[in-house]
Amino acid sequence: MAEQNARLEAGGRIDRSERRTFTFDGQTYTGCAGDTVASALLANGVHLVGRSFKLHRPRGIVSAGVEEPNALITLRTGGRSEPNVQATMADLWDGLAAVSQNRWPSLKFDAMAVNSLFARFMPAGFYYKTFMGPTRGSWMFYEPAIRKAAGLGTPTREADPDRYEREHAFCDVLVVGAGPAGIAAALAAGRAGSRVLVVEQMAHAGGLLLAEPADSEAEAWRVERLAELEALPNVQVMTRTTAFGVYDGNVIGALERAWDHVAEAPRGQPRQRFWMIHAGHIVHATGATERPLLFGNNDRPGVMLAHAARTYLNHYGVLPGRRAVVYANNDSAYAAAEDLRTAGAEVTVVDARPQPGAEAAARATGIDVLTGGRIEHVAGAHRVRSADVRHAGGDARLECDLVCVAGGWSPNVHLASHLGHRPEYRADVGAFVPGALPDGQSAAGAVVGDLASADTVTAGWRSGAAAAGADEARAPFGAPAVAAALGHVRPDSQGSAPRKHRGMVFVDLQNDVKDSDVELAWREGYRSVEHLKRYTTLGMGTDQGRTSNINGLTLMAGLRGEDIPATGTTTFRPPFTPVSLGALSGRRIGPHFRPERRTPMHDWHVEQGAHFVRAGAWLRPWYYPAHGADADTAYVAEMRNVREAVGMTDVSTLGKIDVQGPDAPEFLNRVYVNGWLKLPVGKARYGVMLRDDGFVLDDGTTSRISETQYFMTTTTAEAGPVMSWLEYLLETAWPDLRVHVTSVSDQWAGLAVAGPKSRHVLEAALPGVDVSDETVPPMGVRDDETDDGLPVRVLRVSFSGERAYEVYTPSGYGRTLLERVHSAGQPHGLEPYGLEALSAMRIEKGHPAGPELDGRTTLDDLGLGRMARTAKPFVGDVLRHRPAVADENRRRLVGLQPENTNDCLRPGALVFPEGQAVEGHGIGHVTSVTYSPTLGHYIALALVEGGATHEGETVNAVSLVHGEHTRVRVVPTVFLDPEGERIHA
Amino acid sequence: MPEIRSAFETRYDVGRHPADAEPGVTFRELVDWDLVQVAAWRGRIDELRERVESTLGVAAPREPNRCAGHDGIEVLTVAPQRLWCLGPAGDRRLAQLVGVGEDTGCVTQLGHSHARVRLGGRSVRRLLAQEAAIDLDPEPFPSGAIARTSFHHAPVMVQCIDAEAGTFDLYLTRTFAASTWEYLLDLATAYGYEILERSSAAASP
Repeated sequence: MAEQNARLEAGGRIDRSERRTFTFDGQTYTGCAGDTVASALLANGVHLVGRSFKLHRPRGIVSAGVEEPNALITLRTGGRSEPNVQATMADLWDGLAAVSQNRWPSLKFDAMAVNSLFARFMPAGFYYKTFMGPTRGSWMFYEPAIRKAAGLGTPTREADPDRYEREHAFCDVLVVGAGPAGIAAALAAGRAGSRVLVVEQMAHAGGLLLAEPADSEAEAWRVERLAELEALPNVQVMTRTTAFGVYDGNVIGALERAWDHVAEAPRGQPRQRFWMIHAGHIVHATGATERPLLFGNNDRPGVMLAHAARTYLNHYGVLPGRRAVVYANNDSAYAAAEDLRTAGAEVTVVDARPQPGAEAAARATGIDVLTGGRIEHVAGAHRVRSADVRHAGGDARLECDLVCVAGGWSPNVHLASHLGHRPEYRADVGAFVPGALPDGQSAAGAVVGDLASADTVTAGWRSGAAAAGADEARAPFGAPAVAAALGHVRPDSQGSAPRKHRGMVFVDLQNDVKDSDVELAWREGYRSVEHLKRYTTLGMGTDQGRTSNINGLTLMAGLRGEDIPATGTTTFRPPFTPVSLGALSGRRIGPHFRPERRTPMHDWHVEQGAHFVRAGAWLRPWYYPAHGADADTAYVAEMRNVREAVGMTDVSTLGKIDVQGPDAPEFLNRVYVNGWLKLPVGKARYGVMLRDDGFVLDDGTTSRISETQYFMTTTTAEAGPVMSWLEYLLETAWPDLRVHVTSVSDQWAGLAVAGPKSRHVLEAALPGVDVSDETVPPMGVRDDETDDGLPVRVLRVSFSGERAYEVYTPSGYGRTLLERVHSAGQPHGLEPYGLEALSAMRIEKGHPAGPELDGRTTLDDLGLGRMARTAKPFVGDVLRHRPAVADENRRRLVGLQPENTNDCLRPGALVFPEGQAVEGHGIGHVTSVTYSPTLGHYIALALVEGGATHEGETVNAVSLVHGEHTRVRVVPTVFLDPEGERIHA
Repeated sequence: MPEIRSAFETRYDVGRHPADAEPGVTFRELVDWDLVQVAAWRGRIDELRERVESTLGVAAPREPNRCAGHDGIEVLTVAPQRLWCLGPAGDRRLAQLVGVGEDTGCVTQLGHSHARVRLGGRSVRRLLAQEAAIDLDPEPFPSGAIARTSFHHAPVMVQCIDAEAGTFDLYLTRTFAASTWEYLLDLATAYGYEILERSSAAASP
């Protein structure tokens, strides 16, 4: 085959001096700078580009844009490989490698083409009827094979090496579409001084003007107007950018193919960029898409939209065929006919109307026009070779290698409909146009059915001016002299019901949906367009039915005996075209998939080799490998060290709230269940908060710093919810209280120092700070600073059951504090301990924590009922007395230990009475488990119906997940030092 | 007095990245500054504001989300009834805010709660736009404007220092700061960036 044998020697907007070499299915071809893969293939005479989804019929290029249903290729290789790329949208670069899809072993000889022979047995929905037996499980037997045969293209499993970005943009006026209406709107708004952003999905601005010859007046108009736009500093035109969705607040999502048109993006640059555009006003100038006409074998390679043929001719300089039949029901196709003839093709027009319009007729000089005609079917396999025509003058067989179809224009109403404003039917143009748009949006041009160029420019100008709040005077420039108006469609030219054709008639090319499938759906009762869509999959491919929806619903309207408006359309939803997950993610991948919250001492833990665990966004040290090879051995060593000597752990993650004001004591008295009015300055108290409904929200320790200032701590997990809750109460329930709450979680770093030697360590680490028992008794708090000015807040509180302190310091000193404590602690055997050891020690002491404070437990459930002060009102006090909430038989906290001390226990195990069958949910469940090195066996906390009434009984802890049944005895929750003597050690 | 450690102490690689390219964005951590929050009881903000102004010698903004400054002190209207007062660490004027109006409001020390980073460069607005849903053009976001937003789910406050020069300060909550810093540097890779030596707010351009 001669290289680029279909490329014209002149014309088009490609650069013939800059050659591009590419491969398609391993065969090397050349193209030019400015080509798409589709135009380059056509230039080389390649028309067979794919195989259809279900029937594996040979398919060719149908369009020149985003409506392409057939020419889906896989581009690039390795981690960059991308399937289902429309060849009509893929820019050609030197070295591009493309392969066709859905064929084996080759495009020309596809073994699965045998499906076509069985097409009558494979109508829409056939798999619901043919793979259902002989047994109920049969579908899952066939399903893997069906799944393997389905789909188009194969994604790569390698990591994508490219960079993607996300970005916000703000503008006064966003113009979607840079055709004549969009250009006029942008100029109007730009000249008025608005910040204007224009997004255009193609590589060049111009819209339908790109089908005009490169030496035409229309082209001169386009170039001149665009130059003016580029010169306006307040206007930005973004090509290769598709607006894919309209969202609340006039926010538009758009995908910019920033460097998708080259082999590799420059270093540091994104391949694609996801834009979130916040617009003061949106002008929808999204144009219209040409519709095909239906006839037998209308899917053969060489059958394409008339406007596409004209675009390949005038924009890409490619003659897509030398013997063309132009089948039309409106005037716009005559521009294509004329241009094809001028380029040297033999052209015959088959016009479905009794006669063409006057302007169209004038263009048909030298062209055979068969009026009152239709194509019955075409012949040819890998390329069309003839068309059988019936017309007013009789029947004819026309030898051809190109069939251009022009069935009218469907305005691209998608974006204008995304917020739920359904389109409306205009009978005069035979199309749906946007319905009433919300404030802040308008539409102009072909999208509203203005099919004449003068109308589109005027309307565009007015729309842009109105959006900018400027005078809507007539545009200071005329309309481009385009070859023809888009033309009005003969409304009944498509026919109402499927005719009997030779050969299959395809309505939806991508999903192989035929006119007989539409009829089948109607017969089987799937008559609404929504059912038609789902039952036949019409419009559900990657092209979203851009060339099939209207024809499909027109057929259904005819079958139903209704008009088109009554039949309606399906719902338009984002995205307008596919959006890569890479673009949506941007740089929120890998280490930045989610943000991390690190304590001020984090780097020290890293240097010690700590293993971390995620607690929400926090990274918390789990254990330190120096103490053991894994968590199970390390935490035991860490626990022992705390019980026998001293340990330190980072408690900076605790929620910390500054509560200040003359009414702060009253405020605390209302939010906590226990009393706070008499807490002296310098003392702390353990408190529990309930929700309105009487269930426990959180617990913590609150210290009185001064008469009017308190330092509240919360659990790590509930820091945010408690803060929000307190603010909510102050704003809505008690706005009269003079109290402010401020999160100081980031202001303070905290270190717990626990163990019999803890005081000695602090004395050495904090010279100048009095930590004596007299000054800092149990639950005492003291603000002080060391001799060299390190400020500290020392709180004597124990979670572990040992003598312990929580030492807080402003975050910038956090690491300094830790290093000093660590250094001072070495002679005393101080070691750090992590979350595992911390959790294990609190279980030994029976302290409820996260697994018990899960939002479903009450004070009494947790054995804390006596904390509540009945003499004062507090949040949750009323509803906690509801019978179901106060029921004594609720699951209440108990301790469990195995009868056989060698047995292990499992969190989540269900508790059953001995002798009872293991059925249902049992009488309780295990909430927390640890191996206690102090006691030498496993222990657990559990919530069991009746709670302490079972003490001394033996029950079964059953872990269905592990298949374990363990006999356990119910014991008090405090396993170690029930008298609390160790805190005084 | 012990040294105050930076939230991204081990991640502050001074210099250009890449070394051979003109940076599109500059980063500089601001140090040696303090932050005091002054909050008024309901209906007492005017009174409290007057006391703050006379203590600090700065006319506080009347609109929300604004900053006004004088002689090294800045006052920000961050929320209804709340002012943030910034100044050099150890500044006696900030220290005098303690007890500025016990009958009208309260004072909370927040000087360690955030890291503060100053950004500049020709591509700084593009960088910030990757995360901040804020119109950063000079007219809607002039010098002195502040806005609370989030960068990839981490809370951030943005302050426009100089709209014409394109200089912005970011206040990163301390415990998210390191992660957000790393993320910002990754985003800035597209433009090339330079990390400048740390300095105080007064000394930083």
